Amino acid sequence: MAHIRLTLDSDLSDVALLAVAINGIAAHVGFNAIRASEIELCVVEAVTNAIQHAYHGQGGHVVDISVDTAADRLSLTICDDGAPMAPDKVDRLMHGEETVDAGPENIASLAEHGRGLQIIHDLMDEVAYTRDKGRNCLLLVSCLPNVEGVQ
Amino acid sequence: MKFQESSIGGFVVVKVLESRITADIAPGFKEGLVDYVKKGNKTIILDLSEVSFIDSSGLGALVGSLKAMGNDGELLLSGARETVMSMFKLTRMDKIFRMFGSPEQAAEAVSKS
Repeated sequence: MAHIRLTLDSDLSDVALLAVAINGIAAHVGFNAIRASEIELCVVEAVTNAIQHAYHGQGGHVVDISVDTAADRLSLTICDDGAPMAPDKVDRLMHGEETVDAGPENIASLAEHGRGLQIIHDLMDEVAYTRDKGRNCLLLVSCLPNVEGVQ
Repeated sequence: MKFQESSIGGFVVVKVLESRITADIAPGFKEGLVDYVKKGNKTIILDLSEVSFIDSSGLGALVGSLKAMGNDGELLLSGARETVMSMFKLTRMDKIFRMFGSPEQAAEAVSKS
């Protein structure tokens, strides 16, 4: 079991560097390329959400990422000290939303935003959101292959 | 935002020269594509072969660009890699966008339709 912490400024242009680090860690602990990319995607969505919504897109704030590896899982915790996540977004994150299959005939009604939390819900094996003493923490857990039938 | 423009069979092909379409560049990405719409292109073939990663903001920019095409326009995607394609499938956007293996295949399909 290993544990590291990564910290970045609330600047969207820094997220790519974090993302490739997470992808590399995921591959290193045993996830295949597609699953490593999915884990990377979830971290990008979570960190982008923290910067754009918790910090309202303002730089100069900190986003902390804790990485914990275990024999059967990779756990990532993304924390910020910004605004709390709105209740409806927490609900979407935890439970997902019933999706209606869109088709070319209803393009005008397609949303341009708001898919990030649903993606995290759909791709992660476990998700938890906590708000404690002004700090938001989002836990993302992905189980390793051949554990609990994942992959 | 870096694009490379070419033409196949009279259709404009816009190749994305970025490896990642994410929140930091999504507004400029959409703006760049909408500029091609404003120039009067009714059919745009977007070549994604250089793109290895797209997030929900990038996807949102593509949806916004598609909407900007209007009912009489078409935005076709080509060359999506496996990781990018899996994102389209996850979000069911593969049902919305017409996707092809190459710009040539996209141009051929449009010519026949």
